Amino acid sequence: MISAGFALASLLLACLCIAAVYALISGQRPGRFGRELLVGFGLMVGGILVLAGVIELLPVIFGGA
Amino acid sequence: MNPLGISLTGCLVPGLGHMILGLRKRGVALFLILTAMFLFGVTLHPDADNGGGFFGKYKKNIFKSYQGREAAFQQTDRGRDMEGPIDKAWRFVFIYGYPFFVGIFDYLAGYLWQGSEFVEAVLPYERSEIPVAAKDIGDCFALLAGLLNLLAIMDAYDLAVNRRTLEEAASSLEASA
Repeated sequence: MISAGFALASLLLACLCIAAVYALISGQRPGRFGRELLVGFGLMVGGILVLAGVIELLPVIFGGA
Repeated sequence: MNPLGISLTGCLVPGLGHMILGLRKRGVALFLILTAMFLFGVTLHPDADNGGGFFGKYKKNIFKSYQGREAAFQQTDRGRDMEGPIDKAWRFVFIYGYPFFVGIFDYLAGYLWQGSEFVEAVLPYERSEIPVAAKDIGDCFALLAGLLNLLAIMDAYDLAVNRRTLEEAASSLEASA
């Protein structure tokens, strides 16, 4: 069993790495790296949170719970 | 060197294609990120008791092909029957293609790293008592490093093909500024 903190930190680290690689190969000027990194990271973490929320809400919406 | 050759150097060392194209900082950043991800992944799923680990996940790897083949034959009949064509295809890609996806340098470094004693110093668990969830997280990181390197290789190819156009655009921008 692993702790929730370790799992969450791993998730955030993976998102950060993907966002960094995305920012590096997105073709933007080097000065915009930070902005690209933040946008990529925010979209990924936000998307995961929205998906998790939708998956949790599905049984409530369709009456399965 | 032609664009394909430049981009395929990324199969040897991640980010090398970018470095050859003169994008040194970007190449070094890609190398550091992808290598760190891969090493973190194999650290969470190192070889334990000579049988498991990320590199032994599909029973053999390019360093232990003969030994792995022996191990594959030792599987139960039930295990062999359950392996479908998708499993077989994935195993083939994983064993023979993955070292190129992640970069031969990283694959070799990861293999040497996960077998070394330094892993115990970094790992918060005993080598033989790593939770399955932590191993899975490690596999995800290691596989992700390979997939992201594929993207970096494609980016290097794109940059190499369009290098002249990009240079002309940059020089015209500088001239107009």
